[in-house]
Amino acid sequence: MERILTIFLIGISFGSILFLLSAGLSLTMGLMRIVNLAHGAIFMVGAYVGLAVTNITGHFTIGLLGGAVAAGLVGLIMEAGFLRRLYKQESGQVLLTIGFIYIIMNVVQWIWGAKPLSGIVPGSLSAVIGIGDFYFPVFRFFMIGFGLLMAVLLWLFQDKTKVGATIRAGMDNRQVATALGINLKRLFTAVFALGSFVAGLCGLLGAPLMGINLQVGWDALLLAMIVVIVGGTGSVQGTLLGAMIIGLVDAFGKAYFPDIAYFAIYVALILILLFRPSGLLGRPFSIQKTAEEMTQSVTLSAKMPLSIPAATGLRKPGARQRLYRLAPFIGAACVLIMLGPLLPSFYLGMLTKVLIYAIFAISLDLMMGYGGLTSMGHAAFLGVAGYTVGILAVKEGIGLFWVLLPAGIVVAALISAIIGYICLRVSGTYFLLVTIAFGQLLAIVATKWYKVTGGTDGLVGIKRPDLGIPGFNLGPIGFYFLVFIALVVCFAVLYRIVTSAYGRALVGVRENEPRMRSLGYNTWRLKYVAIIISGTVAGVAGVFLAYYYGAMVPSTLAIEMSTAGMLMVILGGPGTLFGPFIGAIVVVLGENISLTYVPDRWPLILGGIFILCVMLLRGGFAPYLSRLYQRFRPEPARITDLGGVPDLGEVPDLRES
Amino acid sequence: MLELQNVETFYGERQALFGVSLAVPKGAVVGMLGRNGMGKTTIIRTIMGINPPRRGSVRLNGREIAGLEPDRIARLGIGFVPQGRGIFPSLSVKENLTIAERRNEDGTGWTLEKVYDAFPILKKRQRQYGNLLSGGEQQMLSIARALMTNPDTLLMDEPSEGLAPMVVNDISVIIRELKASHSVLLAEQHMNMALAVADYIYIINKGTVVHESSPEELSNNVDICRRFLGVC
Repeated sequence: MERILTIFLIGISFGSILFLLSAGLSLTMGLMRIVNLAHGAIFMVGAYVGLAVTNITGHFTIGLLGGAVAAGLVGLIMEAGFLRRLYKQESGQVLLTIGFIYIIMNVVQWIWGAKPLSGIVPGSLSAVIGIGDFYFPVFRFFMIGFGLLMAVLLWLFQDKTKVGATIRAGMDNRQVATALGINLKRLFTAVFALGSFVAGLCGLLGAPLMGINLQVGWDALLLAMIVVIVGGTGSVQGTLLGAMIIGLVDAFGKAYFPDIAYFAIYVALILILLFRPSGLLGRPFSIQKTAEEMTQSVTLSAKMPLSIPAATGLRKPGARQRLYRLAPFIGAACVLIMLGPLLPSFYLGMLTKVLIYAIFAISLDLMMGYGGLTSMGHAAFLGVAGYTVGILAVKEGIGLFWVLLPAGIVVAALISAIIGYICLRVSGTYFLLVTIAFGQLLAIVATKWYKVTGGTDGLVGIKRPDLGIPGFNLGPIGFYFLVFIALVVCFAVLYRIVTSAYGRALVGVRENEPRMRSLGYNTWRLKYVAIIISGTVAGVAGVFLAYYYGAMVPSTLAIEMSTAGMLMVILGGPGTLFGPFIGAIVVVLGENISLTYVPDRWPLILGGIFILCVMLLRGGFAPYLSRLYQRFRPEPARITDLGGVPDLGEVPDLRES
Repeated sequence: MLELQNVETFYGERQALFGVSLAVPKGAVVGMLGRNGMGKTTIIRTIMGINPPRRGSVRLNGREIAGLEPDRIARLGIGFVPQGRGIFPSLSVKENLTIAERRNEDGTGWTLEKVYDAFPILKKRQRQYGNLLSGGEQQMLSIARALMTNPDTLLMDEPSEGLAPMVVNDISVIIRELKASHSVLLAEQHMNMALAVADYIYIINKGTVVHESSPEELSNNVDICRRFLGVC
């Protein structure tokens, strides 16, 4: 009995911290529909600054406040300086806040170093009290009390004050609220800063449970996200409920099933997604866009050219058009073929890596660029394929390439079919959040399942592909050409898909899903198929990456790998296939150059690229390159200018009969 | 005095208004009639700043307001009664009113008490949530909410939409009473109601003004009614 009570208290105290952590995220997502992935990083700022202030002043309370103020300021700068201009542009917000995560984490590392620090418990709260045979720290009671107090205050603020009512009015209908004279922009900035302040407040308070280290930015984001999905966005009660459930599930999981405790909260997440995708007390409209926003997004994207040059020749092209269309690809292929034997081995290795990442990036482009399914867990598909190769090669001693390649691809396809099914329970922002959770789940599996995956040591000793030809050993150049062939095949397959009737229907889903549904398309299936194809091609990249490194480690599954893929897609130009290929070149080369000259500042540069990309380079490089290439177009154009609507030729018919 | 001159508004690349000019004099109720999709709502959204015009001018008491943010335009004295009423469902009736509250500088004008006096039903329902009201009550709440901002001009977008004939009458009475203190621009499909309350009528067709006259003149002009309104 005492044991259960103790576990219960542990769960509730963790839940209180989770509530403080998530309240801001829930509020900004519910009210402003802003996806702030940097919320965890802001929490981290609160923890580090709070600790520093406490050490300087010697007062825990001042430390708490100092951390909160610092976090609030970071939030204020982010919203007023950047996010405000990205209103209603979900993918822009996502990428911008990812950029901020990298920058914040790197700056924190710069100032405080990479070594984890430990949280502090003020002397007055450091006692423990006994519950039967168990001891329970008083500090945890303080957490519970403080968490509940803040919950009540936030609830009173949101439900009983005029400012709170104004916030709710903004959630309900921001257009009418604005037209009644309410300055929602200022209100939003204030709410965002408040959410950041509260998260920062719990940075130091939660340090004994969450830790103070560089990983905590991602960990905190993940926990807050799960709480918000379980509880539902936009209401204090929902967030509190979600936080307490996750806290208790975690505590009881750790007590009774210590081996699989890490997965307990994911089980809770998956159950909620399957049976109540809008969360326990959610405001359902925060998932669905209003009809009005739909039309706006259509008019916005109507200005963007559909994939060029793919769209320029959808009517049956003549020989010259065909040549014009293929010339850049043939040219690029020739350059790559010639570079192979010419480059010194270091650069050949780098170029091989570029090609592997290019496969990964174009696979993501199918989902993200064409399907509008922004995924931050794409590395999962790459990782499982790589691990399949690793396990079969290292543990089972299978060397034959013709066994390992299909095995990796099949596993990636299976995993994408499973993960895709669950992720498609929700759409938009939630889809993104759930993909992060699954990516992270698989990374945890890779870390914890030591017997099979080798844990953090990984699987080492994967030899170059054995093609099964007697007397022939693949050298670096041979491996390069193998990867090159794989890229060509993947590119050709994806190009065929995106220019097919299916591909055009998928773009239709991206542009306006309800309209496609009302035209008789099974949009769920269109999206599901896109995820599976995308995951399968990512699996190809994973197989080659395992060969490339000769090892598989959990970081290939981790969120940084997924965000690198995203950056390649948006930098190059989503929905173009060749754009992400260029993005892969830029990112891989950029990383190499940076690691040579400023090895510790790469994340800072990466974050900067993210932000510049979102603020200045809409649509990536691809539209600029296409426009340049259009100048060499033979004969009068048969398709209208870039700004016009491309002729889509025959109407695809994928409708249910 | 609210004045539009040669206003052109676009939705993305699609032009919706092709040079609309109209005026709402002080203390007058001006009606806009026209079929669905002809641009009445777009005119209101243009004035409100929700879809700012690409060309042309919108002046309120001589001051150019085109291009300002909607909340700024609202604070300059335009009250908005949106199509579909736009009640905030997660706010109580009272909260729906108080969040819009803005006093005149001299302290005169509408207050919560005065609004409750004018709409006793809202006082009775003040603790209920907005979405639990009937259509007519919601319409009254929407009008009352706009009055709480103490505007000098009210924009009303189809206040009769979806209401029973008797309730339409009640709303007409309210609008006529408002004339004493406010100018009103009224977009309507309900011809008889518009003719009954308005001092002057514009007919909007395909994004332009095709006819303007007094209500009496219009009701005698069968040809215009048939061509642009599909009635008579």
